[in-house]
Formats: sequence, structure tokens, C-alpha cells
Amino acid sequence: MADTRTTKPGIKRLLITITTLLPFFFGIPLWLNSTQVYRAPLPFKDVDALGSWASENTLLLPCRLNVIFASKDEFLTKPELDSVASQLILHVQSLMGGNSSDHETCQNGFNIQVKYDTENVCLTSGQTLDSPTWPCGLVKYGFFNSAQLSDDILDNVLWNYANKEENESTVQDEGGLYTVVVLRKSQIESLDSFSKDDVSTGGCTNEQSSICKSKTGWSTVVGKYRHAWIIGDFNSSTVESEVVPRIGDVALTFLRGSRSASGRSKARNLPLSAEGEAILSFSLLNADPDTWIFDWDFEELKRQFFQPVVEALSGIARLTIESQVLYYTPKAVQSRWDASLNAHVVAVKQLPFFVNSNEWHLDTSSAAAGRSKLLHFAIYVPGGGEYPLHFLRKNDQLSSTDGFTSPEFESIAGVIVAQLRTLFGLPPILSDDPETGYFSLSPARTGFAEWELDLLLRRRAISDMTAAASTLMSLSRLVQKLSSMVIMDEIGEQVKNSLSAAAAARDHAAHGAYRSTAESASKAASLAEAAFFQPSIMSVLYNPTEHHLAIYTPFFVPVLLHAVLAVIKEASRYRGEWKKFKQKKE
Amino acid sequence: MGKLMVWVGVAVAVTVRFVFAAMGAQERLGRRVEIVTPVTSLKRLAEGQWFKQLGLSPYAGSAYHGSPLLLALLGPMTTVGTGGQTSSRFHSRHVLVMTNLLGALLLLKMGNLVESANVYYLGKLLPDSKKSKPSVKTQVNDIRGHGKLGLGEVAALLYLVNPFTVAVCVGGTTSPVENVLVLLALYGALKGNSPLAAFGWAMSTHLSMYPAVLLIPISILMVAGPDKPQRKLFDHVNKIKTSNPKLKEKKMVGTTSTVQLQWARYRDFLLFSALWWIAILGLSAAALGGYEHLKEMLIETYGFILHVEDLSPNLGLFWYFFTEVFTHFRDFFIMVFHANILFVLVPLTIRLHHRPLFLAYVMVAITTMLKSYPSIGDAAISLGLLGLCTPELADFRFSFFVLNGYLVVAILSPSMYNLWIWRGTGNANFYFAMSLVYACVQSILIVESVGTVIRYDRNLDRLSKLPVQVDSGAQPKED
Repeated sequence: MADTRTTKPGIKRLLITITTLLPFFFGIPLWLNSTQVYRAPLPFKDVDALGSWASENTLLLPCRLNVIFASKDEFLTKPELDSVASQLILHVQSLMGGNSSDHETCQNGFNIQVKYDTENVCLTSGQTLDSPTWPCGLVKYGFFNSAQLSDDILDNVLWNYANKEENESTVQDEGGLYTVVVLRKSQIESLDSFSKDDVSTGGCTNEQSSICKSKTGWSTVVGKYRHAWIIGDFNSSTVESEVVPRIGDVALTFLRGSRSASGRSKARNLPLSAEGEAILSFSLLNADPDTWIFDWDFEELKRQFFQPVVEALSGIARLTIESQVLYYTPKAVQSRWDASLNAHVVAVKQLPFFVNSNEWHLDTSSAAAGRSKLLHFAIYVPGGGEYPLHFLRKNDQLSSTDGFTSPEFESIAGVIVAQLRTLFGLPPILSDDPETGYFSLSPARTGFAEWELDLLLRRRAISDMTAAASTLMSLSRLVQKLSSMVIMDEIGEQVKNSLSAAAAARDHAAHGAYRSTAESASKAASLAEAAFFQPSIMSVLYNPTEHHLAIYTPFFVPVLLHAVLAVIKEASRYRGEWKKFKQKKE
Repeated sequence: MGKLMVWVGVAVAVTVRFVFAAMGAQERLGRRVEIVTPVTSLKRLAEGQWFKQLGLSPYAGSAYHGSPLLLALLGPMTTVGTGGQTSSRFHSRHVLVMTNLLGALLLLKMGNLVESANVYYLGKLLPDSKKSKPSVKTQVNDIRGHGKLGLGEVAALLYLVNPFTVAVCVGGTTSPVENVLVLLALYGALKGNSPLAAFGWAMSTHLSMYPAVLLIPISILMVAGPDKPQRKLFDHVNKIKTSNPKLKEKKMVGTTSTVQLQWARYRDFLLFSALWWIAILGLSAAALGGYEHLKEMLIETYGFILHVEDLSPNLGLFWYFFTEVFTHFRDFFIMVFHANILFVLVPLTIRLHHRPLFLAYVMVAITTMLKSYPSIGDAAISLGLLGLCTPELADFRFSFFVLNGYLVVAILSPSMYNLWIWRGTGNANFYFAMSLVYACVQSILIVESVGTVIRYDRNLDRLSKLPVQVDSGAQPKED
């Protein structure tokens, strides 16, 4: 090409390259807009405050013990009573201090008040309780007339007495106030008269009364509600050595569910979702319907057995119940015929493989899609070819209940409630112990005594509060660390609500309101959980800032580079041509 | 001879369609993701028809994503009548074969128009040795020789016997209808028929959205007429000829510009477009039962195409990317993917504005490659339009490679799909590799054909600048 040119250089090529590049610049605002991260303001300070509070404290509910020495005559003086009270306080403190764990202490320890209730005298000693306690007047109520009756009746008599006198008070419903009634055996008329007549039987004919079953002459009974009673022989001189340890045992039982430290259950994690929900799913498995088909009237079963349990546990967990009947559900392990036992047996060590998850379609619940925990109770009806079927224990004996627990899996043979207790971390129903004279009453309908529910509420409140605080702290740390994380308004709302629920729980706890404390704490935990597991957070968690480079560069750099290079090339070419044109003109 | 070949070709094409259909190919082809897409599926159309018959919105159940007008047209043929399925399919197949034939006819007509225009403009540009000016028709016959196939006939036959066209027609999709409307728009624009062009454009845009980009080539066709060499060549030739008194005497060239801009025609086109749009929207509203349903229609048709809700595998590039992309980036990349089509419109228009029909082909081909739910039905129409540009594409270089690329995709993509979906021995990458090959083949075809046309223009430039030798009678031939 010549060094000069007569015409102006054309701008077509330059225009084409520029129009290729331009759209990229139009795209920049869109791109910036798409990368903008929305972050709702979070109350970091409040979260930190809650976190630091939770790191030093646990949410403790008050426990109050009201000891009533009921007597017809006066056998204690005021100084003696004071001495018993201080002795008792020291004893309980030493019991609790011995192996205290955070989950099993109360707000300011166990508050103990001792009352002395006779026909004419009403003395009070020890610590003052901030809630109304049973008034004096047990003797006038005619309590001693019924003391020789069965334990169940006595328990109800005491409950009636407490409720009759205090029907204006709300403390009974709130829990945390326990009462121990201490009686002298000699005061109970019928026992007294019997003992005179017939020494050989211990003066006792009533087989339903624990005092008659006891071999020590002492009986301690923990009732279905929030009270216990101790019957024994003592006088003003032996009260400290005989009665105080027994009251201590009762206090420990109320606190831990068992009077011995070793009997404490280890399962503290309730089998519940973060929202405190669980679904009890009952499946009746007919292994071989060709032989026989079992059916059940589940609605009736539910009404009679499960509904009371669900209602009793309503403060601790929201349980829902569903049922199904399945057919053709072979088990996964082979049983073998044991001629000596005359039964088909499955060894205990094979139990982990008993559940045939391939063919037992237990997960049919629509609610299972959520975060609710599912507890499966499967009743397995063996086919005719392997009937009777038993579980063989390690010691070659047949299991008496034929039920077993596996994580998230339950198989039952009529022991559902007992297994529920185990799942909830309570020891099996306290067994009566005639050797030491320690008895307890099992609540027939619900399976959970009220003081046991208190225990669960205490545990749940503590663990919920800890969970809420730690979840919120984790969330706050995460949010502050990852500046590119999207935080929707919803999360801010949930965090705020969780904080206020936590504050409410602390407030309720100070007032000793068990149920509302547990409710608020559970609300705080579930809201914190919901905020933490908000799907919008999760999506960005996998997407750190470094990824942005990896996402944008492969797509844009190759194209953009060529477009920019083309524009530069064309622009320099155009300038060159323009120079040639100008040279010519000059 | 030529006529006979055309008729034989048409007969073969029609017979092939019916033979395949009689062999039950519809069952097989109608399931191929390369042929049927969520927006063109006749099965989904039948679903929409069912909802419509139940008195519900055809978009209920989110199966149907097409126009309510198409539903009114094809819907009654897809329903299972008392006569059973076969009779209804028979009808819809007839309609599809007829649309194929109509498309071929339009291509034939367009080819004839383009051929005449080529002869006319080349005659103006290149020195003509003949003293007497023959009619365009005889010139055309001179160039191609008697008995040879004309441009239109070649394009029509290519379109009709193209296996992709056959498969789409037999498989039962709505793409033939969309294609024929695109062809109608281009034919109307080429012919200068404003109402027809406006109808074709508005209707095809309404049915499948992407033909909206054809507004640019159609406008150029309406204003400046069919493909022709660049204007500067005419200016150059004019200058030479006017400076040469010998030539001026012969009055071969007028002093006015060769290209007459016809703005009045374009104004009519715009007016008619507006009218057709009003009619289409009104009819759609009537079919849906009220104007308040129009928004739903837009969301379910255009919104479905733009937002790429259906990520089932197809020959396109969207599905794989958007199954992988983080939700956070989804919106941005959807914009980027769609913008790819818009990016190239302006540069292409600047470069190829003198060849609007070829520009239309390039745009159709690019949308075929970059649309969210492509099928081989889109390739069928872009290849059909390619047939109209054969004179310019005479020295296309990679034809063997491109042809084999199409073969590879046609053979391997069903087997890869089979390996992935049915046998489970492959994975999504196997099939996406075929999508990539398909995209590569198409982009090579586009780039190379654009390059070839630019080379052709450059050759014309060189030829037209050769010294005019009136007396020697040398007729330069394009190479």
C-alpha cells in the first residue's frame, strides 16, 4: 500500500470492533448489581452479651424443698427444729456438691425449708422459699387416718390436700417445689394398734402399703406428683441421724431422677429435633400375611396409651403420633430353631441387622421431610414358619420383653413407654427396694411422674439455652468473618426473636416458672437453629470470594481480551491511515 | 430436466416422510431431545389442549409453553378423538408435511428473486460485453445453463430432503410452523410485500421469540432491497463510467445512485407490524379468556425461554451450565448467555448490511446455536437459508468438516444419551460433549460462511476496479 492516501480512512472496521466491546461496558452495572451482597443488620452486641452470659452461667431453675414434720404431739422444740434444718441444708449441699454437673444443679442450690406441723404448733425454719408452700394442718386434715392405706391412696390424699389448700396458687402447676412429709410410725394409729397385737408380721396386713413391705421399718416413698413421704421410728434425738439422710436421698431423686450418683442416666441428648419435635411412628409388620394377619385398633390404642404420654410431655417435646400396618416385611436376619428353648431365636448380637431397611418402608411420613426427628416403633409379627420368635440374650436366656432399642429405631413388645423413658434420659421406673425401704410410685397412665417432668424441663431448658447461645455465637462469628455472605431480612428477624426468647427464658427462670422457661428456651434454640440453617446462608457458604475469580475469568477473559486487542489494533491502524491522509494533504 | 428433478425431489421427500411415519418413527423420534424441546413439543401442546378443554388455562400444569394461537391451530388435531390416536396424528402430520412443502415453496420463490437480483446487480457492476441488453431472465438462464437447477430449486430441495427437516417433521414438533413463518417474513420482505413481511415477523416472534432479531435484516430488505455488492463498488464503477465519455454515451449507467431507498415501504411494514401485534395479542387474550391472562402467557412463553426453567438435556449450551452454576450467579449468567446473541447483532449489521438475506441467515444460525432450547429443527431452517447464498459461498472451505460434524452429532448424540440415561454407564459430560461438538460445528459454519462472503465481496471489489476494456470483450469471471 502506498505511503499516502487520497481519501479519508474508513471507520467501518473500527466501528465493528468498538461495538463488539461496548456491550461489555453496558454489562458492568448489571454485573455489579448482581454481585451486591445484601446484609441485614444483626444485633451482634446482644448476641455477644448472650454468649458471654452463657459461657459463665447456665439457665438454672430454682428447686425448693419443703420438709414437713407432721406429728400429732409435739416432739421437737424450735431450737431442735432449727438444728435439723441447718443439718439438712448442709447434708444436701454436700450431696450436690459431691458431683455436681451443670445439668443437675438448681438456681442457688436446693432451697430447703423445714416445717413442723402439729395440731397446735406450726413452726418454720431453714431458708425461706419464694413461693407458697403447703400450710400447716395436715393433722387436722385427717391425714393420719389414711396413712395406713395403700401408697397410691396416700399419694392422692396428699395431692388433694395440697390442691385444696392452695387452689388459688399457681405454684403447683409450675413445678420446682417439692414436699417431703415426714411421719412417725408410732403416730399412725392402725399401725400402732397392729404392732401391739401381732409382732410377728410387724403389725402390717396391708400389702399395698410400703411400710408393710419394708424390711427396715422405714419407708421412703416418692409419689407420682411432687411430693414424697417418709415413715419411720424416730424421736428428737435420732431425727438428725435417721431422717436427714433419707430426706437427702429424696432431694437427690427429685434432682436427678435417681438417688444414687451412679444411677444417673447418661443420655442427655433428647431424641428431638431443634424445634423440640418428634414423630412417633408405629408400624405393625406382618412378616408373612399368608399365615396370619394381625391388625390393631390404633385409634383406641392411641387414645388410651399414647395420648396421655404426649400430653404429659407437651412441655418438653411436641410429639406427634402416626401408625401404619405393613405386609410382607421379612426381617434381615435369619432366626434359628433352638430345641431346648422350644423357640426360634435371634441372638442379641445380630440385632443391629434385624431391621430390614430395604423392605420395611417405615418412612412414609410426610412430616419426615422436615427437620423433625422420627422415632420408629416397629412391631414385628413373625410368620408361621418361625413362631415363637425370641431374642436370645448373651447369657443364653430369652429376653423377657423381646424389645430392643437402636439409634432412631425402636422395636417393641408392649414396653413402649418404658423405652420412651430411656430415650428421654430417665432411668427405668425406680424399682422398689424393700431392703432399704425406698419406694416409688409409677404413674400408670402417663409413665412420667410430675417431678420427672420437672427434671426433663430443667434439662431441656439448660440444653436449649446453651444450644441457642452457641448457635447464635457461631452465626455471629460466621457472619462477621464472611463479608460476602448474603444475610436476608428473615435471618435478622429470627436472630432478634431468638434473643428476645432467650431473655424471656431467663426472666421466667428467675421466677421459677418451669414450663414457660422451657418453652421460651426451646423457642430461642429453634429460632437460632432456623437462622443458622437458612438456605440462603448455606448457598454462599460454599462460595468464598476466591471462587468469584474462578467463576468470572474463564468466561469473560478470553472474549474480553480479544475484543480489547481488536479495538487497540484497529485504533492504531486507523491512526496510521489518518496520518497518511494528512501527509498527503500537506 | 430441471423441473423433473424438482418434482422427483419433492416426491421423494414427501414419500420419505410418510414411509418413516408409517414405520412408527414418530414414537422414536418424538422422544429424542435433539428433536423435541420443551417449547416445541407436540405432546406438551396436547397437554395444553387438555387443560383448555377442561376450561383451565393451557399453562396450568406448566407443561405447555407455546402460543395460545398455535394451540388453537394445532390443538384440535392432537387430541385423542373417538377414532383413536392414529387418526389425529394423521392430521397433524399432514399439516406438518404441508408446512414443510410451503417452506420449500417459499425458499424456491426467494431463490428466484435472489437469483434475478444477483444477475441484475452483477450486470450493473461488471463490465458487460454484450451490446444488446438482454432480459434478466435470459441472463439467468445464460449463467446457469439450460436444464440446470436454479438457486431457489436448490435451496428448496436442500430444505426438503435435509434429514433434520424430515426428522423434525416426522417426530412431531411445532418447529416446522415456526420455520415457515420465518421464511414467510423473509419472503415478504424480499418481495417488498409489507403486510406479509410484517405478519411473518410478528407471528414468528410471537411463537418463538428469537425471530425478533430478524427485524434488522427485514428492515434492510424492506428499505434497500435484496443482497447486492457494497455500495462503494457501484460508486466506484459509476465514477469510472461517468469519467469515461465513451461509456457515458452508451448510457449504461445513470448518474443517480443504483440503490433506491424505499422508506414508504418500510413505514408500511412498521404500521402493519403494529397492527399484527395488536391482532395477535387480542386473539391470544380471546383464546385465553381475557386480557388479564396475557401476563401469564408472556411469563409462560418468553419467561420460560429467558429464565431457562427446564434444564433437561438438549443440544444447547444452557442446561449443563445452569445445572452446575451457583444459585447466587444464576441471574447474572442467564443475562450473559442471552446477551451473547445481542452482542453480535450490531457488528454483524455494520459489516453485512448490504446483504440482508445473508445477515438473516447468520442471525438465525447464531440463535440456533445460542438459544436456550435448540433443536435440529432450527438447524433445518438455517441450512435452508444457507442454500439461498450458494453463489456467494462457492469457495466455502470447511464443507467436508462441517458435514462430518453434523453426521457425528446425529449419530453419536443419541448413543451418548443412551449411555448416560438408559445404561447409566456414562454421565452428563458424555452428552454435553455432543452439545459442544454441535455448537462448534455451527460456529465454524457461521464464521466460515461470513468469511467466505467477505472474501467474495473483496473479489468483487478487485474485479470492479480492473481497467474497463470495452473493446476486448473480456468478461472477468468471479473466482
